[in-house]
Amino acid sequence: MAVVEVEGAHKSYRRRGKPAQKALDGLDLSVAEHRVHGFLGPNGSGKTTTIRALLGLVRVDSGTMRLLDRPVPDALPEVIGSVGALVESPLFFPNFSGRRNLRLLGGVAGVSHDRVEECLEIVGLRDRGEDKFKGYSLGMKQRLGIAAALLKSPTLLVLDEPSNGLDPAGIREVRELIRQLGSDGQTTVLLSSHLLAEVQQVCDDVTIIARGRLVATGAVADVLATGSTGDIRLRAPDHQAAYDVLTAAGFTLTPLADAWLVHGVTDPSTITRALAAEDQYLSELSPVAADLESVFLDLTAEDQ
Amino acid sequence: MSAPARHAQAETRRGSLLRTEFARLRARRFIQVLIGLALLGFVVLSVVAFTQYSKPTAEVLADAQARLEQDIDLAEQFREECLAEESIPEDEREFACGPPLQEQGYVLDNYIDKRPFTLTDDLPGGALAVAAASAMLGFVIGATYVGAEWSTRSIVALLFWEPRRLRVIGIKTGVAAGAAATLGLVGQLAWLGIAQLLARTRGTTTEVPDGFWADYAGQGFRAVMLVVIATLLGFGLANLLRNTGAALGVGFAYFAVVETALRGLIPRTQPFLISESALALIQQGGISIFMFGATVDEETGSFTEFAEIVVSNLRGGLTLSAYLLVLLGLGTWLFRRRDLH
Repeated sequence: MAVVEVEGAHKSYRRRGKPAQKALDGLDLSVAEHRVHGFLGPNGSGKTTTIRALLGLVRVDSGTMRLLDRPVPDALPEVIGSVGALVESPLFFPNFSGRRNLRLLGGVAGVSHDRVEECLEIVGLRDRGEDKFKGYSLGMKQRLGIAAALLKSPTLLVLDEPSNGLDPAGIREVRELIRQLGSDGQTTVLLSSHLLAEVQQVCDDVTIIARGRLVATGAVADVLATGSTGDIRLRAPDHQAAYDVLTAAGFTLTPLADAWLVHGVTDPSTITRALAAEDQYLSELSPVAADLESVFLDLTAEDQ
Repeated sequence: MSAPARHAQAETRRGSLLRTEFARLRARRFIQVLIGLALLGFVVLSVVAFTQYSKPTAEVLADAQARLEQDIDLAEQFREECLAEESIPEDEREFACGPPLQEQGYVLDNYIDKRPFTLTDDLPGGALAVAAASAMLGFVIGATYVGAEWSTRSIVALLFWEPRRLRVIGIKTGVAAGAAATLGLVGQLAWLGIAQLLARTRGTTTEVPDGFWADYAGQGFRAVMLVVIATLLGFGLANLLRNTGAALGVGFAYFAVVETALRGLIPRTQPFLISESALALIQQGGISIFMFGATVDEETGSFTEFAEIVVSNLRGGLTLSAYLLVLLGLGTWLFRRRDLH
């Protein structure tokens, strides 16, 4: 079942004295249940607008949106109790302590004080719970925002740039937390991030958008495959002989430090066959996989 | 970060936005400071009041009576001399020298350095002052209550928990009104208590006229209404402008500049001004506004006719309510429609 479904969402922001700015231009998005779904896009591509629209903060001009199989924003009150969200920077009263801020939010839905303590514990802020929010570091503020998103024990957790302001250890902890949530069989995580490595490490699926439109979507591995370069890294005991054989067979090679990079190979067996025919044998043959960054840049290049 | 534990729904208690909003209001440090300062001011003024009134002794009363009679004698003597003055035409003397003096025209309290506190004379006036102070305090509390939510954008975070915007703003309005009613009521009751103490220790507790307490209760009720309206005006303005400082600035500019200008330049707007309407609402019998009427002498431009406009309690209340409805309605409509970032 799709936990989040967006079909043909359009949204334009009117600007005084300027033409309207398109934030969403027929966006489609589908997030499968109990998965960690990355939501990637360049700045201004419509990620936050999409999340705000899903949470009822922004009304789309046209298109349909569903959360937990219910139409939003109309049925949002029915499902909001199962949705936890951290959108951009955490929004809390600066003069209240972290604990009081969480208790006030949790009070709306009847979340117990014990659950507040659990969530403070999860994000490592239990000992600093009585400190005022304004005294927190950027990373601590972000942790408190995550704690607030977890309070409801959500079945859908929406995190918009959760690693903002965190130190490397904090980033790793957040990623572990997301992975744990994604693997508990009960939680779906929609993770909007500009950190491509984060999405590649943490997410099962990914959606890439640009200029408010869907560019690519699917399992991370599948999306990476679409950006496959067709390059093969190759090493042979006789470095030069291998080069001569393959260039004679029509391959294009560029040298690496201790290997060759063979370009545009659709079937790696053509390489082994050509070399074996000339009594040349391989010590290494490995496809060069595209990373998400290169795929992302390729896919969004024309929209930048 | 530790592993997340799943929260059992059975462990939850019943949520309440209303209860949470009251808790949020009570927890605000700025509001606590405002209430504390108001309480301090009330205590200080009460202490000052105790120094301004005194239960007169028989000796003081006798002395005051003697001075009052002495003044009457002097005035009567002056009148007789005036009536005997031949330079004044005889048919004009009665008019020029005035009518015979009566003791009733003199007030004994004016001959006592520290006059006694009397419920009939002093209680309603003090209640008006307390109502005015409470209304100003309510305006600031109403503005900061919702203005801070906009400044910190925590009102947006709240929508992640309760997305029904009308319900959110409705409950916040209700909480502001409830807090204002409590503030107004406590202020009036506190003044009534202090006034009783003043009457017992620094004045008289003689019988009050028939209907006095009923009228006073009516005034107290209207005073509470005024505090509620003022608080919601502050709330509505801050909700519209999304900033406490801006709301207070607009409020100050309105009362200090706009009303003064309108009174001077367009006097006929006076019955519709907030200050006049507020006074009309709480003052017993409303207020009368006198304005220049028709010009009688076109040549000299002298105005000899005045128009009296009576603004009743009801009219004052309705005018304020109309402003409040427009302000709250507009703010609510925008809150419901606008995209929030």
